[in-house]
Amino acid sequence: MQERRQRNDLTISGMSTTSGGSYDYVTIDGMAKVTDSLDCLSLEVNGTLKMQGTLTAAERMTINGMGTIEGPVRSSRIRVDGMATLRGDVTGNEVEVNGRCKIEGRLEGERIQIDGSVTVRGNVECENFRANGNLNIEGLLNAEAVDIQLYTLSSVQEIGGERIDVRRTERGGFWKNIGFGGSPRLKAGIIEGDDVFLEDTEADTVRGARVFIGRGCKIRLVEYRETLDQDPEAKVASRRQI
Amino acid sequence: MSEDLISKKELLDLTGISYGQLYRWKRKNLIPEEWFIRKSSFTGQETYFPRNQILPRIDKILNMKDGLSLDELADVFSPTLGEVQLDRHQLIDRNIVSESSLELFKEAGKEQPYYNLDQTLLLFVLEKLLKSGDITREEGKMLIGVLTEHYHHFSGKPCELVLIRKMGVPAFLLAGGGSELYFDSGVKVVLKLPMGQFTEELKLKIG
Repeated sequence: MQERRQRNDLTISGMSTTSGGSYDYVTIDGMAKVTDSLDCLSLEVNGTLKMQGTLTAAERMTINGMGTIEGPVRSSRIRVDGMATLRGDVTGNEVEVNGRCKIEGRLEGERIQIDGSVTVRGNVECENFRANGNLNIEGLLNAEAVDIQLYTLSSVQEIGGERIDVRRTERGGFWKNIGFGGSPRLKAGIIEGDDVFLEDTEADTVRGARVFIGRGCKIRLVEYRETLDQDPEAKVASRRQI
Repeated sequence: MSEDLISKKELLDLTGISYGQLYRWKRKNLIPEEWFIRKSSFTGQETYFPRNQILPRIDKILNMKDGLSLDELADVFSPTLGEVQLDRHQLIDRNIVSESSLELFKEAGKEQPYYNLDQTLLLFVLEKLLKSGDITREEGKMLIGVLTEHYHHFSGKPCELVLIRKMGVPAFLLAGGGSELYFDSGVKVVLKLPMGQFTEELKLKIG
């Protein structure tokens, strides 16, 4: 006998206001306003969502259109292809941003992949952090492995982890000529890791065991334990072995 | 009482751990966020830790990590206790409490057939402090009082147990984690211990 489903699905195609509640699959193709918290298996937004409460989406949350959520968001897979403003803390296993996402709380996950643009007020914590887009993190980015490919001007207050890798992207003439988004650079306060590889990075302090400061870098102070290698094109004001 | 701080650099030197490990433990909440104290100095921003808390913690992580996963370790260090019920024989068998502490508990009118975790913690603290000779039996009763009345205010948050004496008159107080306390010069601070230390030890005994 098939197990009876306890919860219903919710589909909004036109314009509607709902108070939230508990559902299996929630699909929003039109414009929806949710005035309270929503607990569901999956949430898909293709239109516009404005939500007041907490979102818990056990399996996944996908925003292809626009979404504003006032409360905390918790989901195993979070994907933003459109535009999202999340005003609370965001917790997900896998987080993928191809569009634009603004998070006013903290962001926690296992794997985070940023191909679009992301702004985070708080700290970011995960095991694997990869970015091929634009980053603006006002707190600490703490990850086992950090891989950042620079496209535009990005800034991160503090980066800490085991392996930190920031690289310049060779890009074609077109984008270069129109100077889209400013020249690729990363601005950071402190970068600390065991293996640190940096290019095009402007930082106050870099601390690490094995440090490579590549082309285009401007660092005020490098403190290293084992090795420090430096590209002739990089500027390091002072260095110290500790 | 200005807290004795240790810089991150010094900490890594002293313990031989790497940046990767330190950040990993922070992510796993093995090292609580409020221990990271940021200060600006002429060499740029530096992070400091409360020395007498971070050093034993790192020692414990390094010694226990072979047996337990990081997530299991995080449970041990989290200040909240799970659900447990123990009777007096189990408490004595597991070496959590001795007869004489239980006796004192009885005198304070708190004896019960079963003890939940908060009460077990109370007994455990009492036992440790009596055994170390830091407090008298009379003070033990005060301790029972302050912990039963007020410990629940800190539900899950770090707090410190403080015992002061002035002119031979003792007083207990519970203070939120990281708060600074100042007394007049006639006051002697007999002990100032983070409660988290007791919950950790207790969890290892129960678990």
